[in-house]
Amino acid sequence: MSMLGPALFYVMSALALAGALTTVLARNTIRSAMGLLATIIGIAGLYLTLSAQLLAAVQLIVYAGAVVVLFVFVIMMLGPSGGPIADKKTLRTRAIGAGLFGVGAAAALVLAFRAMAGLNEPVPTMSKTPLPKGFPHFFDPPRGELGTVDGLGRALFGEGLVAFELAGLLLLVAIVAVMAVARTRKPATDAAAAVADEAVPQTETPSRGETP
Amino acid sequence: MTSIPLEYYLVVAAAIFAIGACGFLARRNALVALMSIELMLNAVNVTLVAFNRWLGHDHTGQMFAFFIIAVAAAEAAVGLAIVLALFRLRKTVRTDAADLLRN
Repeated sequence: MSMLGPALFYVMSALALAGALTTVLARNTIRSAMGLLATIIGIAGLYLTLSAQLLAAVQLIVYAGAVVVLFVFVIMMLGPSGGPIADKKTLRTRAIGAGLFGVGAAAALVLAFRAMAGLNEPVPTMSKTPLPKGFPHFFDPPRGELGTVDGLGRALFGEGLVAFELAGLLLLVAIVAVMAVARTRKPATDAAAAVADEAVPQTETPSRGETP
Repeated sequence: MTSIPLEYYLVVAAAIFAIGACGFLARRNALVALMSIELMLNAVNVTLVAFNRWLGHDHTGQMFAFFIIAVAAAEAAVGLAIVLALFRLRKTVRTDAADLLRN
């Protein structure tokens, strides 16, 4: 772990950051989806260095296997008309909003770095309560008791049982909601029209016979 | 010994969150906005798992990350359905085309 862990961390965080930048900056939506995929793979690698093996696998299965594929499906369905359009009208307000947030995020990063640089010295201004005595600042040997299927599964079905069942209910509700929202009403009306077309001659022929 | 402090993970997560938030604020493509939300949720997950690895005595942080993944999957599905409905209505996925409730 002495060399592999740090190398994995740097490679995976570089991949995640590059993917995030690609997601946001790419003009082509497919490229954005591929950037999201790179970010997800990078974050799965970060989970591996954080003793969260099951979460790394779940991340790859759920995000890379389902969410990104869903995004790509929708992009393909929408076709080129859903693609990039030059939006000049609200450019100024959007630039101001994103710029304000970017300045705030940069300030937060500077603060985090300063806090990190001063960690080994006593910093009375940061917090009243000092960090715990055995607070490990460094990447000591992996905690084997964390992140295994056994451990996380026991936690999920023990103290997290209610939340787990609620998550299942949430996914069910989401499926129903997706079908309700994304359902096209054309085929339903077409079917109704077909039924009406079948019914119309039967009802109209007697009426047509009666009217003369 | 070369080793990774907890704060490195927090900085990476904060950077990903900031990129996602900037993308959500700046892009007018609804699909890219949804992807930016996914970026932010993933950054929060990294923070939770990192804190759990350093400070946790049990799996609470990883459990939270697990549920956030479930919620994010549901959110992506519903969001994409809404994007599809918007595209049917307006033939575009720009978020400023969704102005049915304006005035």
